[in-house]
Formats: sequence, structure tokens, C-alpha cells
Amino acid sequence: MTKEMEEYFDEMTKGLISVWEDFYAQMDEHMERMQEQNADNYQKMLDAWKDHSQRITAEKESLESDVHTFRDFTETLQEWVNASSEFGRIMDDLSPTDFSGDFDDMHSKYMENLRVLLLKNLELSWKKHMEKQKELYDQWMVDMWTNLKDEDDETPLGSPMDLQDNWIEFSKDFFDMWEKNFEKGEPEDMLHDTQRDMVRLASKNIENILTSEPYAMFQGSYLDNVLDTKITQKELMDTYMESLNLPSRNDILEVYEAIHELTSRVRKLERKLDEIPVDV
Amino acid sequence: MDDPLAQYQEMTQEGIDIVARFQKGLIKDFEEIDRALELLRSPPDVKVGQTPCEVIWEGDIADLVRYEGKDDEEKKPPLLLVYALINEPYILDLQPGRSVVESLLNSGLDVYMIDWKKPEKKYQFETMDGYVNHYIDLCVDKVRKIRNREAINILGYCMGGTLSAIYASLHPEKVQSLTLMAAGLDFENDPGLLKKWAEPEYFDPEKVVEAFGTCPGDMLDFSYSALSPVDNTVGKLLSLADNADDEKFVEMFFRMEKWIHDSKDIPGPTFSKFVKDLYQQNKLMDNKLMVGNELVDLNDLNMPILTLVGEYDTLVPPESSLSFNDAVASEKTELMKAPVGHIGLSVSSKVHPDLWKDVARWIKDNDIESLESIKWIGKKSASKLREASVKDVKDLKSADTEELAKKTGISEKRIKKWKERA
Repeated sequence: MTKEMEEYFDEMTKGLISVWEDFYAQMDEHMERMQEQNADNYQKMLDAWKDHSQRITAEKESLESDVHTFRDFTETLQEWVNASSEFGRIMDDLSPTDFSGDFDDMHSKYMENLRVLLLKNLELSWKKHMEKQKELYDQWMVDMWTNLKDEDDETPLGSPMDLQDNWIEFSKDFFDMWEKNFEKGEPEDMLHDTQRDMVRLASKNIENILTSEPYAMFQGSYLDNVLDTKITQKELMDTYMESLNLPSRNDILEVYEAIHELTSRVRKLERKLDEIPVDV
Repeated sequence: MDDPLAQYQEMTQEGIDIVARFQKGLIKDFEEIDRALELLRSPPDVKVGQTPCEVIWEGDIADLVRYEGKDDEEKKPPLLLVYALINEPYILDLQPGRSVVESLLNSGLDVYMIDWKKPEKKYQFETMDGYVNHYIDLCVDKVRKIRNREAINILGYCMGGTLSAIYASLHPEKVQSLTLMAAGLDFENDPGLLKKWAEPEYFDPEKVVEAFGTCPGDMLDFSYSALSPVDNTVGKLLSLADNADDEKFVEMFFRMEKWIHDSKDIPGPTFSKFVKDLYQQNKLMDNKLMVGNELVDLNDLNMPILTLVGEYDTLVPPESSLSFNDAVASEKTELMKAPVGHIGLSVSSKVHPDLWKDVARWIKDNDIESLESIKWIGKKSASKLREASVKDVKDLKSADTEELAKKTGISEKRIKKWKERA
């Protein structure tokens, strides 16, 4: 754990103690008011409060160990995200002053901070992954297109700017979706739901590409290239076979074609024979 | 207010729990995906095409099979299923409970099917004329002969539907009724991706034929996957992962996988003509299609026609079938829609058994044998019988001989003979 983080936890502990002290003072005031309002119950409540207060005092002494628990948790979290430098920076952003005010407020701020913390870390890991993917994707598109067309032409999926925009739009949709799942979902289902949403998103994204004119053009020219290569291979093989004075593939196919033609004629005759009534 | 320290402990614990639960979900997800991958590596052995049948004619690139019904096949309306030239026909009999064949048999039809084989190299020159005017016609004749009928009912699926429509136009006298299931007919209005990719400026089918001799089944398989690449790869895997413990789901999944990859080549001339004349030039709808030197004229389609479409079909979108009923001469046409895709029409639990019961009922309602189909009833006699309100064979069978003789002036002896033949 970094020195900054140690300091942060100490600050936070101090902040928490201060909030509790305020809380106790408020409770004392409250009890006094209660005494005025309901004298009959006062003694019972006072006794109860005394017991409670003693227990709190005892537990207060074990605060340090609770801080350790929190530190353990944070360390687990840190290990999990495996991004110590970014983690430290994000922790710096979370000011200890957030932990002031009443407990409900503090609790909600704490949960919000935890949410932001998790989200930011996931975003960072994901962004790194996406950047790498984008790099590979761009390179793949350039390589593929260079093989087919002049470099100055647009890519089959539009201009490089279109590609970039398309990719940025996809990333944005993805993060919106991730955040939505985080807010609405249960932690167990977050990854599951996000995966499914991502499939839907990717399907929609790919569908837009597949139905575009440039894609149809690209697919056509790609197929043309594959077929041209195959045809050239056949022609080369034919030349080779001819050079060995052996029948070429074309020669063999011509024989097959002739057999088929003959077969068709024979079966047409057979059908005509079938149509002649037997009893004639 | 609650104990503040307890609150602090609680909220800390809550944070730990969130991470622990997230990790738990993460591990569960990976385990499920691992299980799905394991299943894909070692798929279970699944059975398909389980309805008992008999091969009644064995040809070089097609067999004709007859499915075994429960009883009295001879009294049931005969129906010939004309399957597509793509993949295997057991998609129509994928598993008990989700089988078109089984539903049709249970609804009281005598079911036959043309089972196209994987064509050997020597059949790579087979033409559309050969498929329609030789193989389909030969199978229709076999069924007509077995059932002693002038005309039989035909149901064509996908490309088999297109070929059936062409056949029925060229041989209307042999077709009692025509059911077209997810059949590509009107390519002008087809909004699908296959149509777009097959546009002449992007695609030349002749080049495929020049390169391979046929249209390779693997190429078709790839094209269909490419229509929805994410769903057909990642989406499919995740769906298997979600249901890896559901035995029925897994079995159905692998039955579908088996069928999807069980592709076969389409002979070059047939493929080329299908793409050029139909996809690219829409000749069937424009009454310009020539098959075997004969014009395929939709005005010759005068039999009852049922068009069956899957509302979410992306392979043959509904738009490529919808206008067909208006373009034919038949006065008796019907359209049935189901909220499923192309394959869903065959295998979805949404269509079994209700939709197929409706289809069978329609076929039975339209299986009216004409009077002329009975030996020695000519046009004159048929006309007299119709004037006496005997419109078909069914009416003749139930008519009172003496009364009919009085009404028509035909001798009782002749009427008795006809009834015997009927």
C-alpha cells in the first residue's frame, strides 16, 4: 500500500471518529429532550443508553482493527484490479472530506465512491483492451484493403474517419451499457448482462456495416479475388498437365459434360416411353 | 438511529460483498463458457430424422421416401414435400414433437419427400430443367401412380418452394394444391442481405461455377453465417453457456448445429440460373423465366395456393413471397404467417403443432379430386354430374345412385361403375 493511501485511511478514520463524536453529542441532546417529553420512560431509556454507550466505547477501542479490515478489503480490491498506479491516482481523487455529515449521507457517499472506484478501474482496463483492439482492427483493415485497392482509396467500410467514428461510437455505447448494468444490476450478473448486451450491440453495429453499399462492394471484390486466384490455379494446373501430355481438368470436365448431355437426352426419352399407355 | 459503529462495519462489509459477488459472477460465467466450449469440442451424439420411412425410389441425385403413417394411408390426401437443394431435408423432421413430417402425418396426410443427395462430381452439370422436369416430375408421377391420382398436393420449402412453383406452372394438371413455405419468389421486393450481395454489380455466379464447377456447400454455409456473424459465433456460444445444463436445449442446439454444417454443393448450371434469372432479374414474377425451352407462366398456376412465411425470416424475407398470391391465376389463395424465422417454420415450438395443423387442414380442404380423374368420366358426363350438384369425387361417392340417374339421364349401371372406381 502506498504512503498516500496510508495517510488517506488515517484521515478517513479521524473523520469517522469525529462524526461519531458529533453523533453521540446529538444523542445526548436527544435524550434530554426525551426526558422532558416523557419522564416515565426516561430511566429505562437512560439505562439502555448507558449500556449502549458502554458497548460503543468498548467497540470504539477496536476501531483500529476495523481499519485493518478495511485495509485488507482495499488491498484485495487493489490486487483484483491489478492496476496499482491508476488505483492510487483514483484514490487521491476521492477526498476524505466526502466522509462527513450524518451517517446516511456518509454511507451513500461511501457506496457511490466505491462504485466510481470499481467503474473507473474497469473502464481503465477495458479502455486499454479496446485501444489495443482498435490498433489491431485498424491495421487489419489497412492490410486487407491494401491488398485489394490503391492506398488512396477509401476502405471498404468507408473512409478512415468513418471507421474511427464507428469505433468511437461503439466504445461509447459500450460504456453507457456497462454503467447502466452497474447501476441497475446485481454484481453477480454484471458481467453476464454486459456480455449479452455487448453481443446485441455488436450485432447491431455489424448489421449496419453488412447492409452498407461499401461492404457489398468490398465483399464482391474480395470474392472476385478469391475466385480469380482459384481460376488461375486451375489454368496453371491445366498447362502443367498438357505439358505432360495428360488430359487436363478441362478435358475431363468436357467428357463429364458430354455424358451429362447424353444422360439428359436418354432420360427424356425414357419419360416419353413412360407416358405411352401400356394397354395401347 | 442505529449503532453507528455497526453501520460502519455494515457498509464496509457491503463493499466487500459487492466485490465478492462480482467475482463469484465472473467465475460462474467463465465456468459456464468453459462448459459450452467443452460441449462444442465433444458434442453429444444426436438423432435426427426419426420418423420411420421407406425409400420407394432410388435415383442418382434424389431418393423418394414415403413416411409411415398410422393407418389407412390410401384414404389420406397425398402430399409430396419438395426440399431445397441446400443442406439436408431432415430439418423437416428434426426431432419428435418439432417435426413438420410428424405433424402432417398426425393430421391425416400421406407424406412423401424428395430427398436430394449430395451430387457427385459427374452431376455438377445438372440444370434447373433436369431438377424440375426430370426429378420432381418423376417423383410426382411415382406418387400419382402409387395413389392412383391425376394430381397430388405439393409442399415446397425454401429453394424447393421456388422449384415447386416453377414445376406447378409447367405441369399444373399434376398439382392438386401448392404450398410454398418460405419460398423466394419475388426477388424485386426482397429486402434481404443475400439479395443485396447477389446484385450483378457485386456478384457473378458464372465465376463461382468457373472456379469450382458447382457452388460449394461450404461457401453457402459461410454466406449464411455471414448474414449475422456475431449471433452466429459469440451469441451462439453464450446461449449454449446459459443453457449448458438444460439437456433438452443442448440436444436441440446440436441437432441444429449438425444440420447447419451438413451442407451440399449445388450443381453449377442450376446455381447460376437461380442467381441470374431469379435473384438478379426476377424473371419468375415477370413471366419471363424459361426452363427447358418452356416459358414459366404464373397464369398457369390455377390450383389452390397456400403461401407460408416466417415474419422474422432474414434468409427469405416475407416480402419475397407476399406478392406472389396476387400474381397467379388461382382464385383460391391463402397466406399464413408465423412469428418465427426461416428455420423456425420447421422447428420452433411456436409452430408445433398449431400452425402445421392449420396447414394440413388447408391441404385436406383443398384436396378435391376432379370427376375427370375417374376412368371413363369424360367432359360431357362430368358436366352433367356438375349440373346435378355433384362437383367432385367425394360428392359422387355420397350421391344416391337412383336419384342421380334420374337427374342426369345417365344409366344407374354407369353411375354404379363410376362409384366403384371412385
